[in-house]
Amino acid sequence: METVLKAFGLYVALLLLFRITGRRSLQQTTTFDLVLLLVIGEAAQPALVGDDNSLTTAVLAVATLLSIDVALSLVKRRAGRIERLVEGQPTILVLRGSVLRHQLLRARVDEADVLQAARERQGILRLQDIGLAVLEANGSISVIPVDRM
Amino acid sequence: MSAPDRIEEYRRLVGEDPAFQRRVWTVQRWGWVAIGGFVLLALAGGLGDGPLASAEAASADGTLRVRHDAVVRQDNATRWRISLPPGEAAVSIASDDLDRFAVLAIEPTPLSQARSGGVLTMRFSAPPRGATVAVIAIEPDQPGVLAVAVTAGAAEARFRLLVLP
Repeated sequence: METVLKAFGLYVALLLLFRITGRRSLQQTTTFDLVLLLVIGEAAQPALVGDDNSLTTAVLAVATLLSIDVALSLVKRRAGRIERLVEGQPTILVLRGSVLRHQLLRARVDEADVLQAARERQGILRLQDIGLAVLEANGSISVIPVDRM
Repeated sequence: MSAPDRIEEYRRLVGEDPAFQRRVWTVQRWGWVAIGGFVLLALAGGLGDGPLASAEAASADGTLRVRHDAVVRQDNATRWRISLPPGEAAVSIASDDLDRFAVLAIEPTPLSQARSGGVLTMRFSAPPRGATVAVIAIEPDQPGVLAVAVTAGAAEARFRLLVLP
């Protein structure tokens, strides 16, 4: 029972912490961020299973985490508001070449991230050639050229 | 079909709700403050292992003293430093939740010790001078609040400790 409760508590705590620390663009993900994720996993693991190295506990912990994830995905499908709360929502960063600075600032994304996405996805080099740049809920930046709007 | 000019139209098209987004950002900012506060609280010992967690319980006459951490964590060892009244060499630790913590070590080694029900009794050799000081390392294995009474002769010190999961 303890493993299930601990897995549930850890899932909720991680969900809250990652939602609070916010969504940054995937373009900003650095090697250090990946290392940080590994360290977070290492820090969370003992709280989940403690000194119990049994296969049963490991499978139970994983099964609990996956069950909560599936349950949450079902809830999100039924309640759009909860989905937006948990996943976030798209945020317009650039419209017709104009940078929405307040949005960029709040989303903790900078112009360089937008231009990088523009170069990679659309071969666009200049900001004024961007019709619409959107920070998606999954952290990617979608770019639509101005001539396609 | 002409392209829409107003940003509101694009927001509708991509599914952005600016009012909702502003609320989320505001909550996130407060969340950062809360996380910072949580870390500072932990640094100060509010979650155990620090000055805020350190506490002392004493008997009414002050002859029996127990220094302990008021906040400890599950499956982590913590120490109780028990100063017995002068002349006393036996101490009892009573708790309804005695089975929720393991006694890892007792220093000095008691001449005898017995555990009966919710009471752990230890007898030490009397020191040549001064009062006996015993250090007991315990490890709680369940979260919750532990109520403990330490008795030596007629003196009794009571304290509670919060065990965090």
